[in-house]
Amino acid sequence: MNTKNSRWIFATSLTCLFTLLLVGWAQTKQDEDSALMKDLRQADGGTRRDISKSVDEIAQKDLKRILPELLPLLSDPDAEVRYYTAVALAASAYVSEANAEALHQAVPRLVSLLTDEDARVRQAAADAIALVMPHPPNSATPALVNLLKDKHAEVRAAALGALGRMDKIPPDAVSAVVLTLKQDTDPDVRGKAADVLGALRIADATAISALIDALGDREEFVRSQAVRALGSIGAPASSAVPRIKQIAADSKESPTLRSYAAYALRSIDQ
Amino acid sequence: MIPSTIRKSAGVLFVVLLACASAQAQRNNFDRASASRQVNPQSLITITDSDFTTPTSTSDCVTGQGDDVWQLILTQPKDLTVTVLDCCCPGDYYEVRVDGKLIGTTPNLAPPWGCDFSGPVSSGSFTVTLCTGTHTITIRDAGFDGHSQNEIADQGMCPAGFTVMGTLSNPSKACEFTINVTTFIPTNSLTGPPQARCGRGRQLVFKGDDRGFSPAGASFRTRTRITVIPEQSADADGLKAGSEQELVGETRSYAPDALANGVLDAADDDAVLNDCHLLHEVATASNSNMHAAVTRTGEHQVSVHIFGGAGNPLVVSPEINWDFTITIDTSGTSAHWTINGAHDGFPAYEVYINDNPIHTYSPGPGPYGLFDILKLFPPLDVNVNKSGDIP
Repeated sequence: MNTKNSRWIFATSLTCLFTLLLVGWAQTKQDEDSALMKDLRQADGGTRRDISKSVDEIAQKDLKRILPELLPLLSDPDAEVRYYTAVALAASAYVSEANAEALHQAVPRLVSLLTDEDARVRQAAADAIALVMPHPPNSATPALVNLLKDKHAEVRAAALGALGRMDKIPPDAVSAVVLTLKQDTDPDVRGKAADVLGALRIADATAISALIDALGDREEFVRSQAVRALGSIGAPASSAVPRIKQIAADSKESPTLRSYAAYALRSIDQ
Repeated sequence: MIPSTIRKSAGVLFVVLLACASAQAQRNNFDRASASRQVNPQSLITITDSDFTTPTSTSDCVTGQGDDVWQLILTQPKDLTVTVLDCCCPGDYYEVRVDGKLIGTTPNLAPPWGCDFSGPVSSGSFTVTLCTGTHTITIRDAGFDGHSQNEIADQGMCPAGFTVMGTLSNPSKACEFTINVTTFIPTNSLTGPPQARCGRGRQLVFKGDDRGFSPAGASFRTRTRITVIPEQSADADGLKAGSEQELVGETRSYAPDALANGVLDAADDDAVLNDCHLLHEVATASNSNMHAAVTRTGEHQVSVHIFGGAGNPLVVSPEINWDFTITIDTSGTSAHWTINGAHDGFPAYEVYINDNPIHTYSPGPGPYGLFDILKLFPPLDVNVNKSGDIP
């Protein structure tokens, strides 16, 4: 056997060994994942609930691989299991772009949870939808818009979080967000509504007018979100400049809000 | 006519006599001033529920001299008036601290400065309300500040003698405890989740608070402060009116180019936002989910429930969450506290009563990755169950 052949055989053997190790490792991972999911499926209600709280462990798995096992848990009769499963899905999308993309497949189930009887489940489902990458699918928009009428402020805020991460939203959804900014009783929700209009750079006259009105909101959080949103919209929000200038010069406003006003003026001027 | 030799000799004799007289006067002055200013080791003077008077001296200028420390044990709240009377030399003036906090400074009357000069000496009285427990009184001579060791030695200023008197009286105001629950990110920066992007998908980084544990830490994610009054006779509901504060620190996101030198600093704070260059966005989260509620649970006891959370306003994110119940009981010989509850495993948490730490939690040394931030998701990761006495 000549030297050239020996080298070729050695390299091939090494490659085979490496491939075997890789396959073995992947198999072990798969076995571990399967074991966890088997536990989740077979456990009684109480244990299932405990396992569902292992959010960190689930979140660190390859979501694409374990999603088929997780999806049934979103329909579990126990609200606690549904809640923690939705939280685990959100967490997995929070730590990995691949998981955030894989989460697309869970959207239909998550959308169905937006009408769940348990408010925490509705909120967790909206949070999970919000983290889908690159953007949550448009199919979720109508259910999210419906959620803006939810009686729980945390749920309405979570729905706005998801709408704010859409690539774009249709005019009726914009109208619903504007209405929320104008009429919601919770300042956190009004502030989030302003944030959505800024994040999506909604430049229509109704939205800009609502944001200018929100600059007079009694809550500083809403005023600061409105001024930031107008800055994000930029030049189309030029009609807000006089009012933003007033805020920037108003010594009764907090230094933080005034600095946001100064940033917004520069963004609109550009 | 007097011969010139005699005139010269008389002149020399006069100068010598004058010098001798001056030296004697200086020695007398120094002896008087230094009589009570021997170099002494530090003494811990312990007093329980009584007035005290102590001639003492300070080491703020001498190696080997130990400052006296007064440890006052109170079995019930009292007003303490500390009076400091300087012994001898113009220029000494004194800072009076109780439990590490400056309660007053005697007047700085200089110039003149030094034991070779005559002039007024500095004295003063300061009153503070103290709760049940053990308190530490320390005195510092600020008169040495700005003077060299040679000046101090030349003027015989060191050690400085003075007298300290403590007088106890019924408390003029309620005994208060300020609770401070703060969360902060110990590192300078933190990589955001994959959803936090700018430009063509570039990953944003977030500003951390870049500090360790400190009740005075100026940068934080959230801070709840509330002052309670455990004595029912002093305050019916136990909450000092207007003392509750729920504060949220500003959130700043930066484009990756801001980390070119490895840290986020003031040079990265450019004036234009949303351009995916240096400072990208700023916002302050809502404090609407931060809560504190005080319940009177006894004649000398209050319970404070501090709970809630706040999120990152620049990206969809889980909230930083905490849920503590803290009790303070002043019925014993010292104020007793308990803390029970839980919080997320990220970021760092610190809880103080009157600036004394009762709970601190660090998420580790950093740098932090997304698996650390994962601990923001439910459930709460860290249980807290501690108790102790307030010093």
